[in-house]
Amino acid sequence: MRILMVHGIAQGGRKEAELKQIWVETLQEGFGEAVKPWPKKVEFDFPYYGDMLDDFVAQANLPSPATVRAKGAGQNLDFERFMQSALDQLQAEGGISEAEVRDEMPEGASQEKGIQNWGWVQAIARAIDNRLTPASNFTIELFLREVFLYIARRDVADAINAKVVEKLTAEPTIVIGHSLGSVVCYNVLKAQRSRLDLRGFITVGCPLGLRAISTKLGVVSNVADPKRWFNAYDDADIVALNPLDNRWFPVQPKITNHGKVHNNTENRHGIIGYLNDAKVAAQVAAAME
Amino acid sequence: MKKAAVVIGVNKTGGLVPLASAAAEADRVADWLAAEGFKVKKLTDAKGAVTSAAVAKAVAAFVTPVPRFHLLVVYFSGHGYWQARSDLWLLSGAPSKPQEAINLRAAIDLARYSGIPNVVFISDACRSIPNARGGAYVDGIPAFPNYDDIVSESKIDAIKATSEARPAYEGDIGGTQRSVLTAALMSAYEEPEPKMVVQLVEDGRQIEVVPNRRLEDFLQRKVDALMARVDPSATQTISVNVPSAEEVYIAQVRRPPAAPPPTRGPAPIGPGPPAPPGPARTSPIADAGRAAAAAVHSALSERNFAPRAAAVLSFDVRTERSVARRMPDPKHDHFESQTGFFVRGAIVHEAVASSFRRDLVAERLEAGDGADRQAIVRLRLSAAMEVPEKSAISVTLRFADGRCAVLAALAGYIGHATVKADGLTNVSYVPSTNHGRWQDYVQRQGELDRLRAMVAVAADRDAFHLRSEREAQALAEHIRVVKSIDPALGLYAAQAFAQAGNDTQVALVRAAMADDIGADLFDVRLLLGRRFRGGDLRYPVVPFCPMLTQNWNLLVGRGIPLPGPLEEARRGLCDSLWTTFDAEAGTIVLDAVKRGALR
Repeated sequence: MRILMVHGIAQGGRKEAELKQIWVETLQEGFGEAVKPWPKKVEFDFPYYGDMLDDFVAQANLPSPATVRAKGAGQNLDFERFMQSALDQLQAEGGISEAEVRDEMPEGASQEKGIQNWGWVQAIARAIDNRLTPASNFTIELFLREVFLYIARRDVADAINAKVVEKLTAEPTIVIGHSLGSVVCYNVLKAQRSRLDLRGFITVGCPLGLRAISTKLGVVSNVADPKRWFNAYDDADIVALNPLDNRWFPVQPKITNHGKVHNNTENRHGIIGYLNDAKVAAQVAAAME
Repeated sequence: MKKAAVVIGVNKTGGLVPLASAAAEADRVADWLAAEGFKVKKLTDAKGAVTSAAVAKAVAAFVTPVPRFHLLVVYFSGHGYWQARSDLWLLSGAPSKPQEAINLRAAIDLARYSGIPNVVFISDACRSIPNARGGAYVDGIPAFPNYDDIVSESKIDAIKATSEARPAYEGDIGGTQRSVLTAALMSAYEEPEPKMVVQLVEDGRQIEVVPNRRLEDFLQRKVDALMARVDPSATQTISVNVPSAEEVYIAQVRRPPAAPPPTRGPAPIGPGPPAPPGPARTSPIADAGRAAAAAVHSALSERNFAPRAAAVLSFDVRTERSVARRMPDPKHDHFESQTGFFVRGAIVHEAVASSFRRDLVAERLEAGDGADRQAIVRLRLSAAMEVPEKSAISVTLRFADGRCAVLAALAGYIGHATVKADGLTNVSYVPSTNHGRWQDYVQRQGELDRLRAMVAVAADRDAFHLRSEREAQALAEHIRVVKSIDPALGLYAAQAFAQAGNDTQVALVRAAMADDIGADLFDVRLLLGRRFRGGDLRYPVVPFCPMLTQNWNLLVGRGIPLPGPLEEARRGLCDSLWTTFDAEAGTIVLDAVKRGALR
C-alpha cells in the first residue's frame, strides 16, 4: 500500500524530506485520535514542486497591487478577472461585509465595484486576510496567484502534474491532496485514473468549491469513482469554505464531505490541522482495508 | 459522456399560420434523444404557451456555472424570422411580444462560453424576413446564461433547415405531417451511407455513429428528395456549420429491422432511400455563397496561394457577377489625403465624420448618380490635405433615399463601398497608391482583391465557415500583407475564427490590425471574447457601432450597452451584410452624430 501526498502552495524553499515527515507524523497523530493502528506496511510518496512553483511565479510577473496602481488595471485581464471572481465569492461565502472591505480602501478612493476597480478587489483581499488568514506566510492573494498560474497556464500545470505522475505506481494507492495539491490530484487522477490502483481519494482544505477554479477544469467528474472521494474542511478555512456538493461541485457519485474539522492552525488551513483529524485518519485507515 | 437536450416545438405563434408538425416533431426528437441517453427537457405548445422564460429556464438547468455535460443539443421546430442577420425562433407570444423569441446568433455566442465542450443547435424553422413592421421589433433573448468565469470556448455546430431569408417546409411524408429537416436528420441515423458511419468504442462497447461533420451532404440530398414529394416546385437549401471534431456525434446508427417481403396492394408512401448523388435542388442565392465558399476553401488548401491560383478559381455566371461586383474599382485608386471612400450604387447626400477627432473632416466631393458614377468622400485634416498616420474615425454616410451607413475611415486606405437594394453589401479597404502600403499591396493585388470578394460573397450568404485548424492558419497567412492585414479580410477572418471558436486567431488578427491602423474595428474588438472593455486594449474603437449587421446580435449577451440613439436605431437595421439603417433610423443616427452623441 502506498500513500501519495500532494502539498499545496507556499512550500517553496522547504525541504522535501522535512515536509514529508510533517505530513506523516500528523497523519500518525490522526490515527491515534481515531484509535486506529498505524499500518505496518505502507510507503509514502511526496512529490515536491514548491520551488518549481516559486520559479513560475517569479517568471510570470503577474500584476501586483503596486504595479497596478502605477500602470492601471488591465495588464493581465484573465488574472484580474480570476482574482475578482474568486475574491467576490470568498467575500460573499466567507461573510465579509461590504463595510469591512470599504475600511480597507485607501482614503478617498472610488467605491465603484468592478473589474476596472482593482483597488476594491485588493481591499477584499485585505479584509479576508485581516479576518481569516493572519498567518504571516499565507495571504489570500498569494494563494490565488499560485492557483491561477496552475489552472491558467498549461506549461505550469504540465510541469507540476508531471512531478506527481512520476510517483505513480501499479501498487494500491491512497491519494491525499491539500489545498492547491487537491486540484493537482484531481487533474492527475482525471488523466491517469485507469493506470492507478486507487483505493481512496482524500482532499483537505480543498478550493474546488470556488467557481473561479472549478469552471476552469472542464466538465467536472468524480475522479475517484468507483472508490470514495472524501473531502474534509474546516468551515472557517477561507480557501475551502464550500463543500464539494451538488451546488459547488456537482458530480456523481457524490463526494463525501466532512465539514467538522477543527483546524488548529493560525489560518485554519494548514496541513497539520487537517491530517490529525480523527475522521480524516479513519478514512485513510478504511481505504487501506 | 453526459448529454443533454432542450427540445422546443411551437405550432402556433401569434397570428401566423399554425404549423401542423412542429410540436409533434419535438415529441419525436425528444423521444429519440432520450433513447440515446440524453437528459431531455421538452417544451411544446401542445398543452400551453411556450415562453422565452421557460426556454431560458430549461437551458439553465443544463448550462450550470460548473459544467456538467459534454454535449448539449438545442432543437427548435416552429416559425422563424431572419432579422438583423440573425435567426429568431418565434415562441407562442411572438411577434406581438418582441422578447418572446430566441435570438439564435446571440444564443450561439453565449453558448460558446457555456463550458459545455460541444453544443449543437438544430433549427427547423423558416428564415424569412418579417414582412410587417411589428416583425422588425422582435429581437428575442439569448436564452443562455452568461457565466463570466468560463474562459474556454465551446465548439458550436449549427444545422439550419434553410438558407438565409428563405422558408423551410413541412408536409406529408409517409402519411404523416413532418418537418422536412427533422425527417431528414432522423433518417441519417437509420439509413446512413457507409461513408458517413464511424465506429467508436464507448464504455467498452463498439458502436456505430454518424459524426456531425458527415451529415451535411446526406441531409441536403435527403431534404431534396423529401421536398420533391412535399412540393416539387419549392427548394430548401440547408445551412450547416460544423466546427466540432470528427468524433462528435448526436446519435448512434439504429438501422430499422429489414423490411418484410413486398405484399400486394398499393405501396406505402414513405421517405424512401436518399436521393442518388447529383446536383442539389438548392436556391440560386445560396448557391452563389456556397460556390464562393467552396472556392475560398479550395484557395486556402493551395500550398502557395498566388495570382495563378486566383486566376483558376472561376464560377458560374451568377457567382462570377457577385464576385465582380465586390472587386474594388481600379480607376479610383488614390486621394491626396490618402483616405476616403468611393461609393457605387447610391447617391450620397451627406458624409459626416464623428467628433472623436475634431481636426478631421469628411468632404463629399461627388454625390454620384447611384449607378456608374460613383460618390466620392474624402477624409482630411481641416487644416491640411492629409490624414495623420494611424488615425481612424467613424464616418456616417447618408444616401439619397434616407438610409445611412456607418463606416470606419482608416488613414491611408480607400474604402470601396457598394450599395444595393438591401443596403451596404460590400466594403473593400485598399491602400491609396500614394501611401507606403501600396507597394506591398500591389505585389498581391489580383489575389487579394479576388480573395476578399469571394470571402465577401460567402460571408454575405452566411456560408463562410472554417473547417479546420489548418484552414484557419492558411487564412491567417493569406490576409497578411507584409506587416499589415487587409482590413476587410481581417474583419471577415475574425468573424470566421470566432465562429470556429478560435479565440487565439481572433486575438492575433486584432493585434496586427490595431498596430497597423491605430485602432480596433468595433466588430473585431467585439469578437475578441468578452474583452470589449479592458485596460490593455489601448486603441480607440471605430466606428461607434458594429460594421457587420449580424454582430448587433452579440451586444446584449456580451453586456455591451449602446448609446440611446443606437438602441433606438437598431430597430431599423436593413438586411444587408454591412450595417445600414433605414431612413427613419438613419435620421436618428445622423442627428446623434452631428450633436456629438455618437463618436
